[in-house]
Amino acid sequence: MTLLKLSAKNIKANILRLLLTAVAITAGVGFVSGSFILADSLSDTFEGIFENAGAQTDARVSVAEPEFGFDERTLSDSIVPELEALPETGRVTASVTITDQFTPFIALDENGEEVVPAGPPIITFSLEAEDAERFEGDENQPQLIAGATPVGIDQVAIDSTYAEILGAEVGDQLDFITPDGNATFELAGIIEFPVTGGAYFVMFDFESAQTLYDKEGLVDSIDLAAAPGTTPDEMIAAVAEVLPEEAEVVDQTTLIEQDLEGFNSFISIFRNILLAFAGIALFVSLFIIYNTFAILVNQRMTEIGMLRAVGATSGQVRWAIVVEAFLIGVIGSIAGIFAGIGVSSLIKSGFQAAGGFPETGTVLTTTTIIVSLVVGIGATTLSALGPAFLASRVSPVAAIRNEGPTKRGTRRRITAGAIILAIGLVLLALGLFVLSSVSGVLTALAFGAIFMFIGVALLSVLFAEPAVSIIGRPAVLGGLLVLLGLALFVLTFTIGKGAPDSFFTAIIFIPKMIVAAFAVIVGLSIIATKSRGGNPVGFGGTGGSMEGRLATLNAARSPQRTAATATALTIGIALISTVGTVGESIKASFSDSLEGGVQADLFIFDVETQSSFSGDLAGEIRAIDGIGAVSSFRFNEAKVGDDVESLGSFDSDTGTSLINFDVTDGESSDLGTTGVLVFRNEAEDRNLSVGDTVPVTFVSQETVDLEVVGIFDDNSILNAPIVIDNELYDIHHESTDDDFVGASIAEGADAEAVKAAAVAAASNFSGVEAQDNEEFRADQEGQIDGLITLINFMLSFALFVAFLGVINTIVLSVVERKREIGLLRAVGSTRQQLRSMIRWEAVIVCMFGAVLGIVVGVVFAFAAVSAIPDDIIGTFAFPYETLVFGILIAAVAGVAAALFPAASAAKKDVLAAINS
Amino acid sequence: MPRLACMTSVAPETMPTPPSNSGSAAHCVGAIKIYGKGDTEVHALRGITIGFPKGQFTSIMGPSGSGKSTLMQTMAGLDRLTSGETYIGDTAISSLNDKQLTILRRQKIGFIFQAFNLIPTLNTRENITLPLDLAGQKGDVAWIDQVIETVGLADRQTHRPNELSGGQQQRVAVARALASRPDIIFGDEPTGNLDSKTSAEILSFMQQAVKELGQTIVMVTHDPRSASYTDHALMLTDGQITQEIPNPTTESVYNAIQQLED
Ligand SMILES: Nc1ncnc2c1ncn2[C@@H]1O[C@H](COP(=O)(O)OP(=O)(O)O)[C@@H](O)[C@H]1O
Ligand SMILES: [Mg+2]
Repeated sequence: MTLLKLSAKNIKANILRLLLTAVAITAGVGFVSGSFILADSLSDTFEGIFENAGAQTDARVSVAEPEFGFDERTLSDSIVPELEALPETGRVTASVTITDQFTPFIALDENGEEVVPAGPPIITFSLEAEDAERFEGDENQPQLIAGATPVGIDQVAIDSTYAEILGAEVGDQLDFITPDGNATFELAGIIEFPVTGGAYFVMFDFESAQTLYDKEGLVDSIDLAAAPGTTPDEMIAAVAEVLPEEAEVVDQTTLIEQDLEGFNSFISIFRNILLAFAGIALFVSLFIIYNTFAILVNQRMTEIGMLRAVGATSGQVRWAIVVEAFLIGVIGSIAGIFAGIGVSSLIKSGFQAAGGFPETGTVLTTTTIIVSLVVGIGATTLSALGPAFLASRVSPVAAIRNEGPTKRGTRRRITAGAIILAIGLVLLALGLFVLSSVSGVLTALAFGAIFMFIGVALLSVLFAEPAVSIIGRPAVLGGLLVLLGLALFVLTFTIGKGAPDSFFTAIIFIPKMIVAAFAVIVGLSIIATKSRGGNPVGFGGTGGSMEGRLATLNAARSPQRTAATATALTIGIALISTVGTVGESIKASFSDSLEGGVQADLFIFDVETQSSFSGDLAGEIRAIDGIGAVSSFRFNEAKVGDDVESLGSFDSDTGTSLINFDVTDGESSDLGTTGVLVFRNEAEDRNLSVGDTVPVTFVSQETVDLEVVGIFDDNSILNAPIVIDNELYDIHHESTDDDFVGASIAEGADAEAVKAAAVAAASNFSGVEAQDNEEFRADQEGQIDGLITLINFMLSFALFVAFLGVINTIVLSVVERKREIGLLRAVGSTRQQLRSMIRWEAVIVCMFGAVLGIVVGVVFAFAAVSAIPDDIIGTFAFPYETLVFGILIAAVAGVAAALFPAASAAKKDVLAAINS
Repeated sequence: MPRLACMTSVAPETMPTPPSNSGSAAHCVGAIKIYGKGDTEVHALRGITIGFPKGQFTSIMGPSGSGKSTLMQTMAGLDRLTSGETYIGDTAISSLNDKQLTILRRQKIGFIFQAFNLIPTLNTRENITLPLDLAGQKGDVAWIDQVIETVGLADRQTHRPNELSGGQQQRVAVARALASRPDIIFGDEPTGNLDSKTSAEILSFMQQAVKELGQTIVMVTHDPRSASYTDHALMLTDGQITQEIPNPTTESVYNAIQQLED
């Protein structure tokens, strides 16, 4: 009772600081709940589609999935009459489908523009009149709401949402893009779907669909209903008898499960990735909670001592603090659940901006609520345990004497930091020198990184004081800001290619310029007020000016607190630096391997989805006047012995002149139908050398003994350890689609004209583009940049939490120094000087955190890059722009974090402060 | 207790024209300070008109809660009056905004508080030059050195406050108040926390600053012995000046207090 009263009183007395702490929890929990909400919403949206698909069907016949790899397997529609003839089958509905976001059958508006709302796929399939009849009145099935089902090659049906967007009515003539160019169809009917999952539907009758989809004589799936008096199992047994080997039949439950399984595993990976980032943000919140309580306990030493002196047991003192944390955890977590709704839509718009993400609803499940509460409350309470124990160990006398922060805390921090750092280093060493499997190395490195970052952050208490004193020197701080600001300008316009070219670079470009300008101006003002006597105006310099000196001294006075405040920032920025550095190194390595290994002048591939395209295109490219060597590249899987490996295939007579994968043993020309090239690592693992034979099993399940003709050293472009000739590939695969076509331009030919011809040829194939060397490189680097930006976007949540932590500490230390602030005002410090003192203290602490984070992050990235095999990342490169931007953002964050505490400190009445 | 008619205490409604201030470093006219509102209203100053002559050491005496600190704080521009006006030299401070008031404080006024006088992160010398540094001025280095020498802190210049004794800390505060040669120095029980020997040391040093350097000092105290160091003691009772004792001695002040309590 008394205990609760005390906790409640403390909360009331410190409501502002504790609310700030609660906000840190809210942010961390918000990310966790947001991850769940987004994943659940996504899953909810799509599950409906799958469940629908299986209803009203006892079984489905479709092409059997290969055991590994991919191939264009087809099922002849001659099976349909056979199935109809079986006495066990009732209704037999054959259909063909195309489900691909980028496949044509997109309606055009009156201006000839494609009407594809961003994100959702357009699903195209066949629909027969009998389906519509059968579904009529079943609310779980598509309903014909206007017109009739399409009949014949010039009729189409679309779903009601798409019809609404197009403003189309039954009887209208609609223009569509189709694989064979534009075509006009009459809108025969409009179908309403119970669940669309954001997809749009375009439907034709079965025979027309076969023609339109280029699937004459083929069928994708056949839905079966058992004849009256026959059980589904009996029917399935009968059907299995007549099915060809390339087809399989599954019952309804399995059907739905199969569909859901793949989808659910995608959702769970997606959720886990989000949660990993959420974990980082939450982890940073823990530091903040710990820090807040540590400071609060310190400030309350006298009060605690008094309580102890009048008879409170150490247990009571401890519990009062734990209960306080628990209550704050409850408030913060509940708010966090709701914040999660905002966070989920923020992440969603991030993904949508980065490259397509479906519209979803918002699903808040009980699991989300429970997990958020448990995580939030648990984390808060746990992080307050340390300070609570510290408080309970305070002796009454020591507390009343108010001796300030104990050295014991610092010592423990150093010990803990050293141990954690050592664990991190051991993990790093394991990753670098001991482990060999890629996943093992990556896991060791990832955990090593986190341990190292925490360890260094904890140990930073050792050098926080001298470091802060150096950073706080006007010449250092001013000079640093000016240099970095200028550097950011220069880098943005040189390496950064200047003006923005994508959504993400655009939203970063303007802040970047503002931050750079800010740094230069502020830095100059600091340097200008450097000489004593200069009356600081504007930003209030940390020159020889007193407030600058006081700011530095304040930052240096409690290394423990400075280190703890900076820690959150250090971890966030260290992660961003690591990602940036590894990303930059990947880009540089990629550039290097393009330079060294690629002689092709033209690159032809599906830029959007990287899906394969008809082999006809390679033929058209070969026919271009002035073209040099041309090779098709295909990627698949094959079994070598019992292991599934990536399989590459190319035209070996021309291919190596386009992509040099460094065949060091044997040779690569003319592999024929019996030769294989093997990547050196693979060859070493399998003890293969030139002349040996190796059994390779293709998707078709055919096994062939191939002769090792050559061993290659550079796997960075093809990324497949075994490579064969297309001639051999064609024998064992149905599909002759290419994934990639490389070509060179003949000497003396008009390069521009050749390229234009290639571009024109590619434009007839949906999504496929022809790029020259420069475009190809820019495109690939752009994708890496996009990924880095996306990761940074996710990490920025952690930075945001860290930023809250800085505000929190500054507020706390302003409260703590109330008297001192009053004294300063009494002896002549203006409000502006006071604000500027607090602001610079925040900036100095933030800069310390950022610089430390960058050093640790880059050092770690360097270790990681050297650990990763050279064929993946061979070159180390600094992401100068990101690093410079990171430090300056920290400076700006410091200014922003100090805004509120500085204003409230300056507003304080002089006397109120003195008399407190 | 009958209200004593006193020449320096005037009811606000009969406020005369301000007295000539040519001789006072600071003065106030009809100073009224009311804390709170309604039921909780406290009349801390009930209309005080008084001047502090230049080059004099004045003490303000009176029982606890009589308004000593309030008078000092409003005179020094740390707080504002409810009505009436205070002047530092010729400057009326009620019309000054916060920034002007701050600058006035750091240029014209020195402070010595009872405790918490020093910024813990700054060393002795930095604490002494703090008002000058805040103004971005270098100050008179020779003078500052002399002050530091005089208060006996020459060998403690780089020490932090927590490395100094209580007496040393107060000496730093006195030195700080003197460093910028302000028009007037206010002290609120500057020796209230010190033992009598240290207290005497500091007080005689303040006395010396007035006598030899022509400094003006106003000090709040409740200790008759402290008041005896001053040229002039004012008795404050219930927000009004009730008595003025020129050239106070421990005895005369003690008697005056006894008289009040009877
Ligand atoms: N900030 C304040 N709010 C309300 N009342 C105050 C405040 N400061 C002083 N007082 C009251 O004003 C009166 C005079 O106080 P003060 O000037 O501090 O007296 P002294 O310094 O002589 O002990 C006292 O009754 C005190 O309670
Ligand atoms: Mg007082």
